[in-house]
Amino acid sequence: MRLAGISACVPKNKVETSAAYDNFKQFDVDRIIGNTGVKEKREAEPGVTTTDLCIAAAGPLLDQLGWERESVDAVVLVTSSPDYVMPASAHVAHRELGLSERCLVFDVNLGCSGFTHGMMIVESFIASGLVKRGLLLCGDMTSGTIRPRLRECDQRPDLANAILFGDAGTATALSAEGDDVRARSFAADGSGIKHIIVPGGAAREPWAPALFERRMNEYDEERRPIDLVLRGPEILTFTMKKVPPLLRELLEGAGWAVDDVDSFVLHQANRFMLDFLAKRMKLPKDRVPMSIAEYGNTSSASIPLTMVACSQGLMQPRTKWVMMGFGVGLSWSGLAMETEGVVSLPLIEV
Amino acid sequence: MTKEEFVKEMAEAIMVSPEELGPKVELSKFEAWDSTSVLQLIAVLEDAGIVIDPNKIPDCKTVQDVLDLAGLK
Repeated sequence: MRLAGISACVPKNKVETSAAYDNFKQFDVDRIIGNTGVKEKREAEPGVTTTDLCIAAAGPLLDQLGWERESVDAVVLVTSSPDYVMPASAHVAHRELGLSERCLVFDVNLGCSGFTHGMMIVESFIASGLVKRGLLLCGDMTSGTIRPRLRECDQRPDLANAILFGDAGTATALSAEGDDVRARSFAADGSGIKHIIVPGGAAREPWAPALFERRMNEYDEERRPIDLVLRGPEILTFTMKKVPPLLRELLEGAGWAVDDVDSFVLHQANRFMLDFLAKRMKLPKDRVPMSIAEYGNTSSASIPLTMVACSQGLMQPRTKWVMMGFGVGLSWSGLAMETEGVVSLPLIEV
Repeated sequence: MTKEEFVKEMAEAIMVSPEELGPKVELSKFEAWDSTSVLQLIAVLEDAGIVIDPNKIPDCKTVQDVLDLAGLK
């Protein structure tokens, strides 16, 4: 599989996280901004969805690549914020992009490991011969749905989520005309299901007025069942335990040393965690790009968004990448890739 | 990692001086004893090769409780 092209789209609406000062103690806001590193992020206006952002990223990319619409035979959209309960958002993208009927189209429900999982999914279809050209669309837009928009946030337990997460959609064009993947790895641990969860609104706790009522959860936090629960201590422990071995496995698989790699693109979980992981894995800071300060944690979009926002200079030359995603599930995965001549568009704003 | 080294790190995480962190001092009196400082302490301990159960941190009421959880004598 070859990484043929990559693009990313964010909403124009730029929100400074310090805007939360009006409702909350400055001390709390400063602590959260200091820890997460999110100085600003993008929030879509109501009515705009993840799929809209992914489509806005994908259309110009296909044009730039010169790919005929009929030549795309797979659309895999990774998100935890789909347009509808059904059909899958990938079908909306398939329609809007004007792709042909002979196309494998489906969604994958994942978050922070979504891009790296998605890459392996598309790679598998390409390796099987079923697919020649695939589009991997990764995005999340949780503002106004599972977390409050920053300006509308009025409860302390919601503040960290409101500051941390940003909206983005990305498109990655993958083709059978090459072999860029040097190593890959994936894993999951369902014992951590409750560490990153939105418990209400699906089959376990179907839609009902009670979903909008605050109640104490098992962590003594007063939350609504539709709110995102994000357990920092458990996630940090999980990340510290799983990500360094994932890196070792990828480097061994590719036959590379740390010094051989041009860029280590990690899921942009938060600044504290990225700094800790980079230090723990002894990665040179100048080869660990970060977009968290400008765009926040954009879940499945964060790796491709970071590549587009921070690494344009690495797209054309021969470049060795290690990409690692980790989060909801719990799940973690990564790829070692060696690319050259990747078509990359400047960041798109809508 | 010695107890004294950890208390110094803990003091930095909750933005006080180490002298303020006597064993019986209640953590809830410090404004910065929050999820951010908890993450910092988990990272400090992990760096020192000490793995703690994050679920037990909310049960820690005093400085001594944290030291006991970390197994620091």
